[in-house]
Amino acid sequence: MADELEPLGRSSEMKANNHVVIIGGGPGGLAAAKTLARKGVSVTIIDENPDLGGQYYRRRTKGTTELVGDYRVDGTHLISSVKKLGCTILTDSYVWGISNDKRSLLVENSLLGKSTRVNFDFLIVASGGHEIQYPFTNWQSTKVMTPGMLSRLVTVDAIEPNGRRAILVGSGPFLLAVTSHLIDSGVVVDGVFELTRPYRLTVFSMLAVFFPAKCAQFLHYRFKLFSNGVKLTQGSRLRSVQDSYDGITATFDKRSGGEQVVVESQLLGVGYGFKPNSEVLEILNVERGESTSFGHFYPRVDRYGRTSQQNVFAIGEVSGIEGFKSAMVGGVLSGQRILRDIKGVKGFASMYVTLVHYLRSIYEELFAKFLKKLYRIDLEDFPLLDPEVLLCRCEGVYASELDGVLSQCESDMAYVKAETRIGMGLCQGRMCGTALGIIVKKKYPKSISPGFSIRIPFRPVAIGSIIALESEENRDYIDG
Amino acid sequence: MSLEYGASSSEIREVTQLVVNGKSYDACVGESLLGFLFQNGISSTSVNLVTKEVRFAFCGMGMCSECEMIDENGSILRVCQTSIRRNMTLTSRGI
Ligand SMILES: Cc1cc2nc3c(=O)[nH]c(=O)nc-3n(C[C@H](O)[C@H](O)[C@H](O)COP(=O)(O)OP(=O)(O)OC[C@H]3O[C@@H](n4cnc5c(N)ncnc54)[C@H](O)[C@@H]3O)c2cc1C
Ligand code: FES
Repeated sequence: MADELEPLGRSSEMKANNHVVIIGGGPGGLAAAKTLARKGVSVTIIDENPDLGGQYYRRRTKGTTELVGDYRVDGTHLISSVKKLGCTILTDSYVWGISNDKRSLLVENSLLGKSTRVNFDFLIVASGGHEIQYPFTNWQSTKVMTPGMLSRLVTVDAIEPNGRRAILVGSGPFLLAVTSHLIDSGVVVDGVFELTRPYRLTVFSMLAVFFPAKCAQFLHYRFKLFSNGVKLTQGSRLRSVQDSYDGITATFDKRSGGEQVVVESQLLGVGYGFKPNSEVLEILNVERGESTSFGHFYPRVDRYGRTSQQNVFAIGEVSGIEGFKSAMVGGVLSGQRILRDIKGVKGFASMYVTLVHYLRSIYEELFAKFLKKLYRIDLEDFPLLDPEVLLCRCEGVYASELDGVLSQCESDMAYVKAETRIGMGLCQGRMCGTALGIIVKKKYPKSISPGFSIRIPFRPVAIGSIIALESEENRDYIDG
Repeated sequence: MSLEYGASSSEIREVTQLVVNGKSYDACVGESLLGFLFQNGISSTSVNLVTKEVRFAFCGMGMCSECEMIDENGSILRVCQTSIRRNMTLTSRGI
């Protein structure tokens, strides 16, 4: 770790022209780094995690690997080749802002509690996304978590199942993938509850015709659920969770009828797809792409990940297309594009690589569009919140506190935030922001909800961090 | 993670004392802290300052801050992003 930290001090002097900085060490960032570094380009990867890998290639700790073996070995190979190629790797490092001239990142090392600037000539934002939440009664229970967390517990952290049981709630293909991980690990899944109604025969036939490989994956998951006796319920929405002695009782409404379904289990994983970690792109004033129903910010990008800002690229989950494969394809394409910009026209091999990935990216995008239609969530799918539902987990604000404020806010989320403190806590609205946007939109159907505005620092950083940069010109740029 | 398991490979795995909210555990250096707490049924990482409820890690990916604990140096750390170090002493944030 110490040798990885060393470059931090030097980074502010990094003057080399054509220096590429990549935010995010997931599949997208790693693929881009490898493409560039093997052609001798100087690359820095920044990631807030203790190790590279992002969500898909999250590493087991050294201790856990010794105990139970490696996980996703292709990730281990990718990471070690990026390390061998001499990329500068800043782990435990969080990008919390951008300098005034928009040419350097403000980065805090969480182990040292200190910040530094990292200059870039090209920036690749591969910052991924996080899971979307919609509150329900007692979602703050210690037995409720995201599917992503359940998944990492059984895969990366390799916990022993010890007879544990869980249910999965939300929307998207990710629920099936997590269910499969849980089953493999020996956790008993007491049911999967999908908010929408995507699993129909017509859908599987279309998949089989247009995306046969993806269809096989779906059928594999579906068969696994079936053969393990896991019931998949569609069109049900979660209303409340009650803690019991060693578990939970979850209550669902059926969307079509009024009858309630009650399920008992020990743990509950809930998430409604992913939203982008788009702070850096928003602060850079990158142009927005297609608007989405929940007002999440997606950048307008071309097939190489180029945004409206010169030399700024966005790839992978943050650019709106889910899945590790498309993140990697995007990484290679952005890398190839930068190589072309830096080194001019290249040989046949590189043209071939670009072409193959270009075609693959078209395929992945078509599939992503298909999935978006399939799992489309409408505003009416989410219920209005009961007064006792905790809306903002961090600041402890209940839905009842929205009364009055909502009718006065005229769809302005900043007003709601100022009046109620919703979104002002440690997570900066990452857990409740989408829900508040939905509630506001239900009240003002014609409004365009832009979500919370982004401020620097993107999330609370050590005071020492800010003081360290205090004498520098960007001081006035730091909010609060 | 159970120690019988660890003992079989004790040459390579260093056992340390991990203190969580005053209670002492045997843990292995370098192991995932989140996995350890979960496995050992420790379901309090923070106490919400407003609602006074006990909270546990929620997102597992550094986004929600519910897993923040205070270490022996008084520094805040995120359990979901941390590996176990030698002689760690942790207290729930907000207690
Ligand atoms: C538990 C889990 C399991 C999954 N399983 C599958 C699967 O089976 N198949 C599949 O196709 N997809 C799966 N996905 C989705 C897949 O992980 C993503 O599509 C893929 O990882 C996206 O890659 P990425 O490189 O765009 O971003 P990510 O892998 O999300 O990496 C982004 C990285 O950037 C870091 N970062 C973000 N902001 C900052 C900042 N400001 N400063 C510093 N670092 C920052 C993050 O910490 C993260 O490490 C899964 C996701 C999760 C959460
Ligand atoms: S569990 Fe959400 S930040 Fe650690």
